[in-house]
Amino acid sequence: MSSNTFKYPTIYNFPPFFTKQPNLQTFQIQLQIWQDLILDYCKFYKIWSLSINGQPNTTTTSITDDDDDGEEDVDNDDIDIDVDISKNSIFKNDKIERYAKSDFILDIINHMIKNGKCEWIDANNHKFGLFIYWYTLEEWADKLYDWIDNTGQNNTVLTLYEIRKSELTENQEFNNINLNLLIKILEILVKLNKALILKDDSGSIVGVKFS
Amino acid sequence: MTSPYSSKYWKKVFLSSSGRPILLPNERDIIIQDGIGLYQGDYKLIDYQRGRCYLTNKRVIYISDLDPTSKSKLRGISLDLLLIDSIEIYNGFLKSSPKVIVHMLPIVEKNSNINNDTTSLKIRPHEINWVCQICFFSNVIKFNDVIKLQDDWSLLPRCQTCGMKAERDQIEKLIANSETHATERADIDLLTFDGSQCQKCTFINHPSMVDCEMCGTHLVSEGLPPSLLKNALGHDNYDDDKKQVIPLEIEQYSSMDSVDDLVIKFSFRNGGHTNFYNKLIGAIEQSSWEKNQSDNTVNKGATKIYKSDLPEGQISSKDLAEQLQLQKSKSEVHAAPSIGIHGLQAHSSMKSYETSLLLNNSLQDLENLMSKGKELIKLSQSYQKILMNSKQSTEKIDENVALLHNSKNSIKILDNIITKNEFSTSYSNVNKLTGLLNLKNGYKSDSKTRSGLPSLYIEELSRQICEFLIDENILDKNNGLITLYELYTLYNKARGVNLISPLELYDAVSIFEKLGLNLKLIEIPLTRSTNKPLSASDKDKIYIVSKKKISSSSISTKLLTLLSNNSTTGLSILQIQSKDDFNMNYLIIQTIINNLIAEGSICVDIRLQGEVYYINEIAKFDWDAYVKERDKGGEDDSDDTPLQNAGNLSTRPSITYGIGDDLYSDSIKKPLSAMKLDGNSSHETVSASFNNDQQLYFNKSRLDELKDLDFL
Repeated sequence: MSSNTFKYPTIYNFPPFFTKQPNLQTFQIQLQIWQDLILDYCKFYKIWSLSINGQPNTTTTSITDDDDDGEEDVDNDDIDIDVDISKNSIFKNDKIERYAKSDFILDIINHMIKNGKCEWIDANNHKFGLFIYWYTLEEWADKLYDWIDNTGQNNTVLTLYEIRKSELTENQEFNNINLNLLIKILEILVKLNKALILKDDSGSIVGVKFS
Repeated sequence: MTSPYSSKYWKKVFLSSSGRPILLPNERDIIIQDGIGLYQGDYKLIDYQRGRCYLTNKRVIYISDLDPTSKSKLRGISLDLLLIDSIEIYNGFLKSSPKVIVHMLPIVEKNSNINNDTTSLKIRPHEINWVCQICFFSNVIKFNDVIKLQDDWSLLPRCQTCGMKAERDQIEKLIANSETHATERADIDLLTFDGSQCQKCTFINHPSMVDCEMCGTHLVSEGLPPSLLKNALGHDNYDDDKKQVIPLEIEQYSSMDSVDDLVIKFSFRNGGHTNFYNKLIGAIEQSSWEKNQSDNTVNKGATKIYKSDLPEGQISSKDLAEQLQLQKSKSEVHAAPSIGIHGLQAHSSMKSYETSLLLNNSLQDLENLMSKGKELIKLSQSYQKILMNSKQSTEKIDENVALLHNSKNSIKILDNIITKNEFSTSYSNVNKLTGLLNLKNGYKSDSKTRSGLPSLYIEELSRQICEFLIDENILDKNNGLITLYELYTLYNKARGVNLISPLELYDAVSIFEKLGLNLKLIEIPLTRSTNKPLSASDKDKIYIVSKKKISSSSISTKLLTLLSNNSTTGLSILQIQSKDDFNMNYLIIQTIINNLIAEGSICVDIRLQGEVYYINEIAKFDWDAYVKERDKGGEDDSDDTPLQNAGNLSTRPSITYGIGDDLYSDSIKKPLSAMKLDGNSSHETVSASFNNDQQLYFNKSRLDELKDLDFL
């Protein structure tokens, strides 16, 4: 078995797992397992955002992304995917022919939002999907700053592209990070006075300087 | 201060499993009264201070409210109406309750001689049937008459219809026959003896059992030897003459002389004494009259005038039940033995009356059958057409037509049999019903019961329902459970007339346990839909009548094991129903399952085909343990049927992230440990604490629910 494929836990093949359980206690446990599963799944495939159907999101960049249009396609290609997960929904198990109903999915998402494990990309428009925080933003910020610190890049200016795509970050977890997510992380660092965002005249970000 | 005492007048009464007396042939209830205590002379009889009295046309039966399981004392004792000399009434004064005082006839010494005779025979002779050689009427000689006959052969009986005297040879032969039969039966091999086999459920009980251990049916163990008979608590009470001294205890007395053997008092603590007194007078008169009639001492030599009027107060209602009663008592009058042509005439007219009744009934059914038959013929004709069209061999058609014809005939015969059967059963139930009716009408209403009917009536109804359940073997047919709805329809269908209301049934069934019957009523909150929140469905309840030993928890454990045996596929309710042990009402299973879901031990998979139930693997699943196992373990091959290992975390295959990507996996582990240390809102720690809280809450609420569910 290839280790490139996500190994679902046994519970994933248990048919009642896809039904909203009438028992409240069971339901809470079920939500928690779903949350853990989704986080694990996204972390494994480096899925930064999910659509509401449970598919990896490809449209998130459309809001503010000023990178070239082919960017996201490149992203997807960079992930070593044996199975075409972009078409597979986590909420659908073809093996046992079960899928979670939309109201149940909403329950799961709300549960995760409550626990700070995900966030609507646009709270007013759910079709853009969700950011999945397998690490919280603060944790990401720590990771990013640790890397800067460890590699002695304090006081150097880096472009966002360098952080996301360059060879420097190849072995880092935030390699290939979603652009909008990265901006959110950088904003946290700015608040902590650990970074400075450099913008051009039109207001778009050109680089970041870590202190 | 108590002292032992024995009375010659009290006799054992055999009780049915529901605690009602088993009546003798031709015996019927007249009145029932509760809250009665017994006195012998001026002294209380210990353990017979709270009970109820059944006045029948032959006996006064007293049944004490003792615990039915204690066999130390007899619950049911009776007085023979024929042994009552006179009665008087005492209206009570201050604290002493009203009483009916019964003076008994002194027992003649001759009776005890007969007693000795019976014991010397050491067998239990039966009634002897002899067939008149002139008119072939089958006459019956009662046991005491047989004894008399053996003393004095001049007392040979006469035929009840034509009046011819029986021949001595014939009678002697018959007696000898019956005796050899009886002696043969007297030796009992416990292994081969089948008298204690239950007629309903075929369970072979110990010979000294009175009721069947399994289903509670009264055992008919006719062939028991006298020694065993004694153990079997008075199986001999069908014999009027055979007496067994009942050990009684009376309260406080100094010397034996002061107890008046002949005076027995009934103390009416709940009132009703005047009514009882009046009925008792009537019953005593009636019984002595009947006794005289059967002894042929009434109007000897006088011309017979038919009298169909019965003493007042016995018949009041115009119901069908009452009419049947009337017909019965009429026929009793007709059947009074008279001799010669008149007797034959009366006998034959009675016979023709009975057959006409039967005929009327069957004619109606026949008409119904005819209409059905017409439909059948139509059907067969169309069938014939089809066959003709297909031009198959005509022989086959002929065969089919003949078969249809035959089946029509057999249906006719079957129908007749069924109507006859129903007729006889309803006939025998009439007595029960009239007794109940009297109770229902005769007493002040009781606000304690839901239906507002007198509690005495409800208690009696409860006993009858219990008998009905046991006699018809309903519980065993339904795996020991029946919903109240089903019981209601079944019972009312069996009654046929004077149907009871649902409230009456509820009241009657809910006091099963209070009456010490082997049945009980279970209430289960009814949850029709699993999606509804539990609190909303609390007001709905399903009522189930079951045997005492059956509990819903035993059923749920059985259900759980069944589900865990089928953990890979799960089971729907219909599939559960098809299993042998769960052949019960859909509602019951649904309710049990919903309770199990509420308890959290099973979960549901809702799919297009319906709901399928599984053991709750979700609650058992532990993500932390799973992740630990996965990170620690090597690269196992995938398990295609992972559910087989579900619930057993240690055997679960584990998974690692990317091959050789040491840095990657290291970088996972580091933040994990870091997060756990600072106790931030990382998902692992949250989920761990969450799980613990859940577990606590889960266990506590589960305990509460178990308490609620614990209706055992």
